[in-house]
Amino acid sequence: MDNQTTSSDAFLDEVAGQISYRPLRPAVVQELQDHIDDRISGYEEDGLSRSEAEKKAIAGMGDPIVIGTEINAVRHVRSNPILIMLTAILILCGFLSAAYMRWTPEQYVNGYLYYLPGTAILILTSLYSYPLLIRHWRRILHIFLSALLLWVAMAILQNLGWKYGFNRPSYLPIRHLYHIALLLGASLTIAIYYSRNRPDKLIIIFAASAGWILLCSWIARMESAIAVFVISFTGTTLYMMQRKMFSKVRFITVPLVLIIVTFLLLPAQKDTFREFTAPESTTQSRLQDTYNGLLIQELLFRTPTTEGLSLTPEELMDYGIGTWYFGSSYDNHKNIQPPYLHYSKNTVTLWDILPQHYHNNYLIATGIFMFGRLFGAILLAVIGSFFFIIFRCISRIRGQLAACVSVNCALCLLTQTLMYIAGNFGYQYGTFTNLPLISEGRVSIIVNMLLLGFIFSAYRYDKVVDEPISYHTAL
Amino acid sequence: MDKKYMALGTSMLVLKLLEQQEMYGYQIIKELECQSRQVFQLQEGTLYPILHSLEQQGAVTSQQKTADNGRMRKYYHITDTGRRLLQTKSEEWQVYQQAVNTVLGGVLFG
Repeated sequence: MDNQTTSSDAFLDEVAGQISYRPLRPAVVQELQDHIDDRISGYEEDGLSRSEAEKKAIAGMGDPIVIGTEINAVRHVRSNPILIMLTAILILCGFLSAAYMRWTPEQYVNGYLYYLPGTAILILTSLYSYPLLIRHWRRILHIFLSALLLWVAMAILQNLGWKYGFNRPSYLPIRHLYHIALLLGASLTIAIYYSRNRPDKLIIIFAASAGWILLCSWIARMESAIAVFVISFTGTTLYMMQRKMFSKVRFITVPLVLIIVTFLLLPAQKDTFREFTAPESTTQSRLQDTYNGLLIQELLFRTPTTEGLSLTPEELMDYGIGTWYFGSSYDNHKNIQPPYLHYSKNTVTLWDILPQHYHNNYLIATGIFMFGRLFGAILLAVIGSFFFIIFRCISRIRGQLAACVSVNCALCLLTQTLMYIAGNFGYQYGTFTNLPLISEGRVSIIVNMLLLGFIFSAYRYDKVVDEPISYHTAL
Repeated sequence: MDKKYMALGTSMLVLKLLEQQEMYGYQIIKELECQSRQVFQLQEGTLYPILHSLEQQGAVTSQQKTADNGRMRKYYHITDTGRRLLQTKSEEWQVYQQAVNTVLGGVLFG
């Protein structure tokens, strides 16, 4: 130790200087300062002067650079470069598809307008969300739940307005059901975590969740949004059970089963499952989503491995009009074709016959048609690697709350992705979900960026931000 | 002594002390000196990287509390993971100790 570190201030400055995450420094310095103060008091009781006691106490502490460096080795912010690279690739794919797959100037602008702030939100969330959540979880939860209640009231009013024909609010909140379903899971995870030793609170949370599912089903037919919520909610609860976070498991098992049963017994579920598992059994018109699925399956079957799909003008017209599936009698349906499908045998291209009004829903399939099956396999491999690394990062998160919320966010992203991929192979469950980071939507791009940003943040700060110890905290 | 076994030994001793009661850093040092009859006298600051490392492993948790002297101190508390880790470290230490005794015994008393 050199001469400069004979005073406690100099010693502590030297230690703090080795710690890269500045917000951690005060706590480390305080703890060492307390130690030195206790030691000085001990030496003073033994009869040493204040300055001698301080000098001896500092000498006994050891090398401040070694101490600071070793603490920094244990407690530092971290990132996963491969995950960042894969995220950048997927966002770039989304950005390019927003430019390439859109049809009108308005759609171009929508794509750019939401990807650019979406990327900014991802970065900001990664940098700040976890420390903010740890400090202000209660306030954040209350704000979200208050907004949710307001939304529910407006949605009920709107739905009643539709049913009974009275004036309804001009703002249409139902379109945000999907986004709320994504964010609600993370919020409920925080609520469950802080109520994990309070059976009465847990029962209220689970009952409210079941009520939410029924309400969503009544308000709009959006089984896919409900499915994302139920799967991520159930997966997170099972994760918490597996990590033994609940004091009494039976208070969780029964309400969890209730949630799953509520979801499975929703009135529209039977038809949705039939359309999902056997689209051919319900297809009667080329305007149905199930027809899009059948068309996609047929075209994928015909696509080569290393090059794009090539069809004759006659085949293109058959696919475009629908006669390949319904037969020539289907010509009668021509008069209900969407008005923007203006093409003839002389002008038709592959682009014309794809389900254009949902083109962003079939981004993977469209990519395969254009570039071959190998392209699809590579894209799926990138997406698969992205999720593999996300879950591997989450498995390394030490903080229980951070891990629980991250699991919920990751399951939300994964469920949407799996449903989107299934839809791209002709098996669409309910309404189409989004493919996080790539397609589609506007607000959903931002919401998915928020979810991913939280996972990044929890992983980044896990070693430096401590969760407050609270053995019996409840809401 | 090999640095690895030094670290193994120190963290094992810290966990052993925390198994008896929760303590803050200075208290751990004092207790270590007392129970080892002044044999173990660490460079005191080196305790803190060990405590932070144990906390990262989930072996201990920490909490700010008022100490007997009326000052706020950061108390460390052993967890179930820490108890399991202590068990493992103790077994590793037994193997190491036996190996050393065998070699020393063989040379000196064989």
